[in-house]
Amino acid sequence: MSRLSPLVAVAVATALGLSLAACSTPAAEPASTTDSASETTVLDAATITLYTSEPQAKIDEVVAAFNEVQPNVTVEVFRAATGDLTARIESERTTGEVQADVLLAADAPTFEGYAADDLLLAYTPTDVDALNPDIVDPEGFYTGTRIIPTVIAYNTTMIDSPPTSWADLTDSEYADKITMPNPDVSGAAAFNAAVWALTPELGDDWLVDLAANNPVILESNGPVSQAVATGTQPVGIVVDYLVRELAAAGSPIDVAYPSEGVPYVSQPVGIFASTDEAEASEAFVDFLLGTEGQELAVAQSYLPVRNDVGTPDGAPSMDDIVILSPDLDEVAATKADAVARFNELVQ
Amino acid sequence: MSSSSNSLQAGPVVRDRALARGRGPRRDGADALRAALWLAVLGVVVLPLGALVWLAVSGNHLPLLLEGDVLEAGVNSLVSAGSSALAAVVVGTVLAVLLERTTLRGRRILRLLALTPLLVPPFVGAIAWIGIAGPAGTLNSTWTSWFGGPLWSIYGGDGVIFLLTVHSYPIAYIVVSAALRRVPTDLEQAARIGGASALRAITTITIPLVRPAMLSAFTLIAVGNLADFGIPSIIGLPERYVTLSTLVYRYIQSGTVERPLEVVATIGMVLLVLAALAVVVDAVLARSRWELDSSTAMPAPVSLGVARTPLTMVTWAFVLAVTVLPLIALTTQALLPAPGVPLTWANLTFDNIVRATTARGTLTGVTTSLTLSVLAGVICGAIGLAIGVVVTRTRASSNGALRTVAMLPQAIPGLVIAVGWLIIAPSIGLFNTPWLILCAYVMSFTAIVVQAVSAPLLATPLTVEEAARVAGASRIRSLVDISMRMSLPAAIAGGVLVALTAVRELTISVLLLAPGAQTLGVNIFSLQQAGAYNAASALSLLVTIVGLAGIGLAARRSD
Amino acid sequence: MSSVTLHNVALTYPDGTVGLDSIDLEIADGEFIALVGPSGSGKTTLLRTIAGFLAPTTGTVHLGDALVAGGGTLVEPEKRGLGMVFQQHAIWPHWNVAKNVGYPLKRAGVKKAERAARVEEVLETVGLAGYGPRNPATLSGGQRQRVALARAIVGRPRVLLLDEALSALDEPLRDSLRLQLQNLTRSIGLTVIHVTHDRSEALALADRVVVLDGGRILQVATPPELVRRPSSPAVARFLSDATLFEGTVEGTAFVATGHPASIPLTLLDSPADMGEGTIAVLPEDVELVADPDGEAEVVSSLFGRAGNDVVADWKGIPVRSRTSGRRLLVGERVTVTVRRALFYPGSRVLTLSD
Repeated sequence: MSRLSPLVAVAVATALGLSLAACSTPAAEPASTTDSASETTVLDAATITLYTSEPQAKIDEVVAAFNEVQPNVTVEVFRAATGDLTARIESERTTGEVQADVLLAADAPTFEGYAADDLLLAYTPTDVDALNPDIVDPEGFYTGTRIIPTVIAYNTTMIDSPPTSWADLTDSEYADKITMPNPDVSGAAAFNAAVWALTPELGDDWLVDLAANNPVILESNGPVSQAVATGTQPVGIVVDYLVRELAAAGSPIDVAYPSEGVPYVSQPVGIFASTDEAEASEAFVDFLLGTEGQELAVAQSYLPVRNDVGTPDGAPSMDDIVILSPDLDEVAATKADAVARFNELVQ
Repeated sequence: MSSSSNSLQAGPVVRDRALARGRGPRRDGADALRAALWLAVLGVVVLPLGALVWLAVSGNHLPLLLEGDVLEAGVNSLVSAGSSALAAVVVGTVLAVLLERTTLRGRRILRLLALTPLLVPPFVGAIAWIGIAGPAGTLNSTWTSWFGGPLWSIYGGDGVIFLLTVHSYPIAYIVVSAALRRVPTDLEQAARIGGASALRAITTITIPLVRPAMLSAFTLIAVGNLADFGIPSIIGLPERYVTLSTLVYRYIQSGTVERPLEVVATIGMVLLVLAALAVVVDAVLARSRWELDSSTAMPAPVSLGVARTPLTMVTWAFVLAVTVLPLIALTTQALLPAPGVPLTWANLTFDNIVRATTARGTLTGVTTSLTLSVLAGVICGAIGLAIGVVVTRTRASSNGALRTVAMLPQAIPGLVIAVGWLIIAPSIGLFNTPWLILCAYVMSFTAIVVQAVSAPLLATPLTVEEAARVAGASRIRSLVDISMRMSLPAAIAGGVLVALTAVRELTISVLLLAPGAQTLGVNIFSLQQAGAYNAASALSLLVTIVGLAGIGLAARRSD
Repeated sequence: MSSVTLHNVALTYPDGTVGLDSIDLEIADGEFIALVGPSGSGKTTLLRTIAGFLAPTTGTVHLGDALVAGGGTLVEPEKRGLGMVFQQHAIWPHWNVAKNVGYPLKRAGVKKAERAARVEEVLETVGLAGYGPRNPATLSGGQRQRVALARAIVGRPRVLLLDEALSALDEPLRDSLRLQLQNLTRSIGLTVIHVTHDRSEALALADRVVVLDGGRILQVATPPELVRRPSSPAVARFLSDATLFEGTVEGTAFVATGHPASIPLTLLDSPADMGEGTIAVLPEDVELVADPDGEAEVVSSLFGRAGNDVVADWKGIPVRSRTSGRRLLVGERVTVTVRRALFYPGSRVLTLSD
């Protein structure tokens, strides 16, 4: 077995390196140390369960930063795509109680549904006045934490003149070249399906034409951005922060803001009424919406929900882009049908 | 004429406790141990399976099985498992013949290299192969730059079959080469003297003799591949190629059907029946195995003549492509900062690997995986040792049944095991905890230790315990002092194997997921699903290297 | 040391096979008994019944005055205070020699210091002084069997049971171990029950020999008596390779049925009633004389230290002879002369399969 010994040596070295790195403190993005406006009391030991559709790495950073403010509160994270989250919550509801304390998922209509079923706890965050009023639920059951528009992304090495509007995507030159996420899985995609259906310039006709171009449906936004960056499908409909991140890392990918406007989701946070740890959950919500939490969001390439924390590099300010803002109640009502119609046409 | 104390079967079996007139048989420590083991085995193996079967039968979802989704997934599962098993057996047999019986150059190195796919978890292999033959992989991008279109995308059913084959042919190789070694050379030599050429002797004499081994390898691989989750989910789903395992995962995760547990239980039961059928067929065909006397002569390798160099090159190319190439692909993917960035020296970075190592999720994954696998190794080691000893060293009519029940999970797809535990989880209060995964591991892997311990024990005569009995030890004491102590090395080896298997496992841990406690396999899988291919590759690379090292060390110590 | 008494012991297996049948045996304290018989005769079954691994269906077994089996009692092997040596030594590979030999003492609760002393003492007795720390894998077959013997006697057992203990060793080793065994057991006055399929070994070592077949005792006697006066044709043939003739006593001679053999009554060494029966002729009592007109032809002729072992085919019956003198050649014609024969009345011959 002497042939394996160099390999063994390499592997042992790697394992040692792994364990050394692991033993060092996790390299989370340090929260900036600007003074927060409010003084927070340190809570006693508590454990809260968070269901979220945030990418794993990002939510880990958020929790780490939260624990610097509240070291005694343990946050157990369950991460899955919004579609999977809602299914899990549904099955927990039918067999007993919802196991989660806090929900941080893609879109407001989802939360509206839960609020209507009296599943959520009403809570007004401490910093509510500093927040963008569009994303605050008037009844106080949930609050948006980021602005995530869905944009057109394209591969810069393969496409010279990118599409500049949703209507452009129906052009035959983009046949078999488009990719987009699955609305059954991605909450943002489901939301967008409803918004497109409700936007007068687009609607069902536009969807039919888009379907004629055979878009490739991938499970969620992550794979879509990857596909565009590698050139497998040079054009994609995807959330903007992923494009920014990949471009910053060196991928040949760029954003095109469609002229009709972009739909956006606000990734709300809400507390379940069945929670045993209301105080700790509220502290978490406050953190997400406070300056530290929002500065972290900016560092993670998200557009924030307050104006005093800046914006990510390369992102336009909210005033520079056209936003599609249909009535949220209408969106909530038509979402299921829109998704069904989408599946019927495209999948 | 040998003393009957020398053999294990001293004629008709006599209970070695008195059936004294009037009184019932006396109970002693050994019986207590057997009873305890039965309880453990019933709880860990029979209970989940029973719950699964009961739920399936009472729900009466059989009509659902004939519906489009499930039918299509079932057909896909059968086709992919069957074809990959067939291909794996063919490849494994050809390799076994080439490497064990011919003058191929570099045989000794090839024998080790050919086994590496065994050391890499299948889903890691899938991630690696995407880098080679995925739509944006090296193969296709180069082909596109030459010819304007991709050559072959690994996504889809054909890719699934290809990858399943790549990851199962080593098993076929091991089984067939062991059988080849048992074929006495005298048989071939008799054919040669009778006038047959070397090649003819091999094809007409040797290969038919290893047919039983080929068949049992086929069954083993087919059952294993039937419920593999990692490869079909990573390679099949992007092209909507759904197998039963990915269908079950979807049902459980996103509740696209009502009462998902019942539907899933029905699917699980079908898989169970299929697996049982395969085992029965294998056992029936095993009866017609020939008796081969052992021969002491080493076989003279068959000379390949003019075909030697081309065959050597082809074989080396194949083995390298299948074993080393994916590792290279994994490394390059891990070292590139973002997708779409061209592969140049300037672009390589260790950022992915550093980030993958230090992420909190990785730490949780490592801790969870290590804890669960070490615990599984220890528990399976203890229970497996006890079962192995009791079953081989005591006489009781229930021993055969105990052994069968303990070994049963080997023939059951991991998917079914996970579903069974999922069903009983709420009732036993383990729902959403990592201990559920531990229970599933104990159920699946105890058989490994039982097998490791039984082999040497079966070869030892019963007189070693009888000598202890005469020397004053009670039955249970003789079992503990003698049999268990003697088999301890084998049990430890089995436990280590259990830990190594558990640490790289995906199917069970992805279905029994608990918040805050994912295993490494689930970590990598989630990264892949979320589209973070570079991060997934980085973590996979680390896992592979450490795994290779572990097995390398274990192999070294056994030298 | 104690005696062993079996009274009407029978053992039937669950499927109906008879293991032992009406065994009555009294072994005196300090006696060396050999159990001999062909495969399946029940000798090992009997030994294991005494040891306690098998329970008799009926009958009683006593060790000394203590009832150990029968009448509703069954004492476990570990409580019978016996010593046993198996054919394949059964030395435990995971312990060294000292731990192997000391195990019975450990089970009996003997303290460590005394244990070590007794182990060393008994190792010296079997000729393995100082072998305590050795790993059994490094020992030869004979040494391992001696370690097994040491382990069997270290606990000062009541009775020593030997289950074909020498059968696995090669001939010269078996020979020397045989002598040591007799020396050792006689010097400490141990009661020994020795199961063997080697007839000469049984006859050589034992005070009395028990011949078994089909689970039954055919004869218990001292070796000389067994050889000179076997109690049945079957014993005569098994133990001494006697040639059997069936026939009738008519008038003054025994006339074989369908065979020219005819032995005058004066040469018959048993009461000879008129009537049918079988005669057994021991090889020592047959004389073969070379004779070109002889009725018998030599089919095999083996050299032996105590006399040539010659088989001559006499009109279809192979006659076994052991005589000194010129070694006859295969194919030679000879005349068969019977010096002495044993007569057994009755028509059926119990066959001892060989």
